[in-house]
Amino acid sequence: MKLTTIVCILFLFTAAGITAEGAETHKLIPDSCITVVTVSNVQSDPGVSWLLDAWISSPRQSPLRELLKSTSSQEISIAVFPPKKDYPLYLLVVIKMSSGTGIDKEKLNAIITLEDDRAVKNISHEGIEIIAASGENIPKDFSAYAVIRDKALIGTDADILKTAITGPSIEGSPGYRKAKDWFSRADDGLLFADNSNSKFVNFLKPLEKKWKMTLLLSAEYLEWMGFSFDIVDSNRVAGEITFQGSPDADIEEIQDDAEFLGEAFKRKFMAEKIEYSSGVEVMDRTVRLKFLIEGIEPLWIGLFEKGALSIITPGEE
Amino acid sequence: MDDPAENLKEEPKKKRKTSSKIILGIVAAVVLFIIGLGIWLFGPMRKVPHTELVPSSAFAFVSVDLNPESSGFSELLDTAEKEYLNLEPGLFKTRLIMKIIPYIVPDRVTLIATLDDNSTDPGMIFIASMGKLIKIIRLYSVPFDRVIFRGASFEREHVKGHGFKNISPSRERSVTSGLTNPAAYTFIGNNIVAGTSLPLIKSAYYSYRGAQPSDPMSRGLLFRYMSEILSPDKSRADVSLLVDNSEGKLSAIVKDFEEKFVFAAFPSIDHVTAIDGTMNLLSEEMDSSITFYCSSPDRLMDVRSDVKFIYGAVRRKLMASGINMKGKVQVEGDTVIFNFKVTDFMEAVFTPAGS
Repeated sequence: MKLTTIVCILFLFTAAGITAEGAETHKLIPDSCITVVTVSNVQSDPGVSWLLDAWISSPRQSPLRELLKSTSSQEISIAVFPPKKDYPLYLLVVIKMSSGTGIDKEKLNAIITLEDDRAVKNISHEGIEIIAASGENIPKDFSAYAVIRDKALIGTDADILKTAITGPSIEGSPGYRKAKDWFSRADDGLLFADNSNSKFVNFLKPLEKKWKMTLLLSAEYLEWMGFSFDIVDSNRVAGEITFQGSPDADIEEIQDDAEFLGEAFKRKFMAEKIEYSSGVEVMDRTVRLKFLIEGIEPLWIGLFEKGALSIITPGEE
Repeated sequence: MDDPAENLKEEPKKKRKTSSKIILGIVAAVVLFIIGLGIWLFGPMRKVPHTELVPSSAFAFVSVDLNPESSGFSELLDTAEKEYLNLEPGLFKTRLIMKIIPYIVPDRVTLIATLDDNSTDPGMIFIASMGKLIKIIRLYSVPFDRVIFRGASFEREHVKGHGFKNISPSRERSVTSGLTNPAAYTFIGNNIVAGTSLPLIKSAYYSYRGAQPSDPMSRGLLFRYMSEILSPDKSRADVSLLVDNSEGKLSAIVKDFEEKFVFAAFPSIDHVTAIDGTMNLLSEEMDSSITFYCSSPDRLMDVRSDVKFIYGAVRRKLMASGINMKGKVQVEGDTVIFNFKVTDFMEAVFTPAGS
């Protein structure tokens, strides 16, 4: 075997190893989630690291910010689950730290408790210790965390952490596997929205009520929706939104949704004087909206100042 | 010599005669009043066509034919009665309601949008052609004032003997709040004319008083188009609209909106000279067509793309209320034509929210 061939094979294995190691946080996301977004290459990719820094230094208070400021993270997955009573936004965040980096438990405690009441309780679940806020004043966004080796799991309550530990993971979900196969290229991030048993449709309905507008007319025809993005640098984002139709889907309606989204982005970016180009392709039951955005930095900063999560919190103005 | 006894007998007779005369006089007066009222109430009414009330600052209008004899509105009313209002047929109350509706609903309503030069805040005039009901409203307008000004205090103003009522203290309203809560109103002929400000209502009155040139060609596109759709010998649509953008008034409003919301909703609007449209009401659907006249053939595809996007946004907005809209946008000659149907709106209107 020639030396160059050996070098090439070694390089491919190393690259695959990096990608596989990089995409780990989703394994701790339960399959009951509606949507999960995984951002990889947090420190190594210039675009992603700029984005994280911009978020960390934005003026709006965010409970995770202090933790991310003090640690070196490698990959982050944020999952949204069907809302629970008292928790309109039911979340789980899994952060994988860079190798050799410790996890600051004080910072984690500060996330799940409020300044005037730092009381916590320890719960053991399948041999893993879950720390949960126990005072009278419990934060509505994150109130429990657990540490599994080099990963920190932070959830809206202890129940979601128990589900994450017990499984089953979204990794085994047929829709998620298809989406992973579809987006085989290792981009910076992947958003997966699961519409099995109309999960995504039911999640979208209260939001559409809040926005007083139906976002996706074809939501009922979707099996899943994927959004792969590559944050090239502070100014450029390339991406693809894929709409996977169910066997009885009205593909024209899905295409109409994809075209409408593309047009809406174009018009927003046009008004913000940001360059945007996109195209819609239809392949069997799959509709793809591919786009490239240039000069987006001011928009990111504006979004972080406003608080990105407020957009998807039902009932919040 | 008079017999005192006779005199005593005659006295009550005289009194009876006098009181009979008085009663007769009163009865005659009442009868005359009723006849007069009848003649006034049922006599001919000065009908003022909406074309006479278009001020020079107007650039757009929407006119809705609600006449039960000529429009699809009666069909809508029938469907509403049968399917949604839960009125039991044959009941006296049902019959009464169905008899009253045609009298209280105007024959035609027209909304006129205006824009002064160098302004981006449009004004709105609402005209409703009423039947005989307007005479009763004019005779006793207290309840009407209460409805139109929502109980707020108002003042009266007269210009050359014509009365206007204006919310107090005098102020201008935005187009959205002005439609449900006008700032001023007046009666002109058989019309109630309400609007977002008193000067706007006055400008409609001045137009009627003959400030307009008699040559129709010199009165602009809006007047000519409105005259055409109101012409009795023409088959009319239930809803007609026209926007004259030759002076860029719609462009100015769209650009102001785009700047305010940082969103390029209709960037090709400068290349649209006019928009006209019709809508016909059927029992369960609305059938519509809107034509965008383009100033340059090179920009047709841009206009088409913008119209298609606006259609998508409206469609998604209506869908959130359970109303379906399905349409097609195509280029024909120098125009972009948008044909669409709206369905399920009756259910959305008559089904209580949250049920």
